[in-house]
Amino acid sequence: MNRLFLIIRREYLNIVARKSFIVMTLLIPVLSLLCMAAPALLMGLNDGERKNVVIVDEGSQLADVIKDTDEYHFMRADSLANKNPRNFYESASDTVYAVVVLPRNLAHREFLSVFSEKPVQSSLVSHLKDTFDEELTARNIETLGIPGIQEKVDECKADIKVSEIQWRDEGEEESGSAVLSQILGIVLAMLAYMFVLMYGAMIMNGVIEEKTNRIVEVIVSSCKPVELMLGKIIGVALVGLTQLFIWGGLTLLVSTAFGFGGLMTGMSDATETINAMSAARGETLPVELEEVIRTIAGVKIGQLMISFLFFGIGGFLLYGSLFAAFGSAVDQPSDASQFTTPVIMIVIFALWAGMACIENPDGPLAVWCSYIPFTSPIVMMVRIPYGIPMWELIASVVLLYGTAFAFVWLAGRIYRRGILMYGKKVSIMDIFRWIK
Amino acid sequence: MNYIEVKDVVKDYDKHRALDHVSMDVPEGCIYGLLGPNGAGKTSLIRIINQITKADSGEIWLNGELLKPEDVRNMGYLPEERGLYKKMKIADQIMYLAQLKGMSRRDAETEMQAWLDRFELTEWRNKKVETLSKGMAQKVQFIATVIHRPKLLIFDEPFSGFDPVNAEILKREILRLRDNGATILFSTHNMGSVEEVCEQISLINHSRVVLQGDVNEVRHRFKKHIYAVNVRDGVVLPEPGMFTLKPDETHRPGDMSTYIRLNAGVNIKDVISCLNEKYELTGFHEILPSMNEVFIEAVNGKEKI
Repeated sequence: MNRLFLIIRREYLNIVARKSFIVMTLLIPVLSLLCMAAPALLMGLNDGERKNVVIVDEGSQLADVIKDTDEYHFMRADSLANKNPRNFYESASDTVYAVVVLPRNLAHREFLSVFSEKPVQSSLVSHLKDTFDEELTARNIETLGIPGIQEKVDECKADIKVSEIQWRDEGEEESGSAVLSQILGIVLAMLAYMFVLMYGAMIMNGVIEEKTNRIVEVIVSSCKPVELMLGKIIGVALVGLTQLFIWGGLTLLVSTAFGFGGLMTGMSDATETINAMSAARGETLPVELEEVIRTIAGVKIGQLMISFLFFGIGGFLLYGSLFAAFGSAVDQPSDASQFTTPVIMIVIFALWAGMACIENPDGPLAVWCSYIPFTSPIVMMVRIPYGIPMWELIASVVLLYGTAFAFVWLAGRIYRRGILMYGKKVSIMDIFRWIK
Repeated sequence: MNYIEVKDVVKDYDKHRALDHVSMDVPEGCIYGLLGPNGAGKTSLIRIINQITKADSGEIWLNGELLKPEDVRNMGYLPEERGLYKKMKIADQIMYLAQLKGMSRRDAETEMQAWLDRFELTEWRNKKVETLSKGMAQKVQFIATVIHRPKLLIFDEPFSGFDPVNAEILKREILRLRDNGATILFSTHNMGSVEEVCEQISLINHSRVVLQGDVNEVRHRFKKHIYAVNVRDGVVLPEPGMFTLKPDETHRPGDMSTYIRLNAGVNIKDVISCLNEKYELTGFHEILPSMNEVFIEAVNGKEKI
């Protein structure tokens, strides 16, 4: 059996069978879901019982309009005791959550006041505002005294839908959502960033482990050092791909099972967009999912995913070989920071540049960084959804792979010296000497 | 016939010359000791033979042909600093290393089972390496080294860290492998083991070969004309003009011998007749230097080949 294949297989199975890998693979989606859902969940939390809100009407005649909700029970009071809401509040003991004072001239831009000890929930304020706005608008229209005016006004209400269409070179039109493209691009850029750092460190630690437990000398007496290094990088890359596929599958599963169409993108903006779209058509939830998939398809899911794979693999080779070379030069992970810090800075810069590109995907920063091999795997992900010419993509891929293979070669030279070097503090200068 | 021929090998690291025109011939089916103090260049030479590194100049011939990349499949190497993947199961580990050496899965499986049985490790085959005692881990390393039935075995300090029981098992296995036709290159500075198992040696010091040859022949070459004399009832006194008593540091409890050093040019027969006249002689034999003494003397530079 091919030695490289054996090494890749060992590396892959060794990581995938670890408990920590399984736990992380399952935990990360749950955690990210929680992070996304937490604000909504927290906002939706109430303490189980309805809160009593006292409405004091000072003559607006609007107090009866407000209806109880799941969260709030409204009680009417005609006047304030001693004309001071606080006294009233206190006299009512702790059963009252807030006191709302409706001024006589609410219709003429006087303030509606909500008194309470602690800040009130925004849902109370929006409920009050929506209810009274609607009622006052209706009353105002009625005072015009035109027969059938209410119906006419309803008919006149506009509710436009925005459909974004991008021109393609071939003159075709393509519909899609700018929000979704951006989000998808950012998600992929973040993934690329995370994978480089997480799995780069994994490669490095693997190399250090082999070196410190001395198995490396046995292995390289059976194969070429560069085979071992490449096998490690490829094995770890496959682990990353496996994790991606598991996450993709889980996302689809969860989305289908719970009908959380919005979770596909994980962003509330997108959820709103989709909700608006499907609500407008009177569709129900499962169809939303289809909608999301269709919309994503609209931003050329194929092109984006293929690019992600190409750039991801190229970037991984590039950074993976660097981390492997650094790992070979040291005896323990803590010694590696002198080498890895600059590399991590570059990766962070790439992510920062990618985020900056959202505002200006065709600006000089975006264009340069999508050519530079150290930043292109991340920055390109952000740029692609906005549409870039094929030749730019190809040029960037060629540059990336050219550089990646050059680095694999360089790293191989460092690696074969480094792994057999024990107990010596290696400097950057030593590493340059090994390359020669 | 020589199985390995090292011809004029030179290896430089940065500013340090690790091997300086080293040559040696290892006969087929021989246990060959590669001796020398730490840092002498033994490991550098081994790494060149098993192709982990390349020589800057010189040639290595294996079985009559210039060394080629595929030859690693015919070598088993147990490095001095040995390790295993701690989180891997014993069987997976041995299978992996065996397949890296080109064995088929089935072949490796059969051979592994035989070795696990031999070393009484069968019940451990699905345990992780980190759960093994040091002695057991060393046996696993040994199995991984020999499982593919290599024609050439290279052991770098094989007995270091072994307890006497396991060292004995290991020695027995090494001799058995030799009897089955393997050629064994044995790097060590444990001279006791050299006398026990090696037939020929090369001693490397400061990157050069300083001593080479058959173990017994080498010991003779370093002999100091010292003899152990045993007599009944009496003490051997020095005989001016014939021998002096060797101020003895080797006196062991219960050792009734007297050690004498013959003067230059004196005939052994004359010494024996002289002793026979004066004492009731019960024993007389020559004391050859131990390999340890040879090693120390050679390393201290008193002798060149």
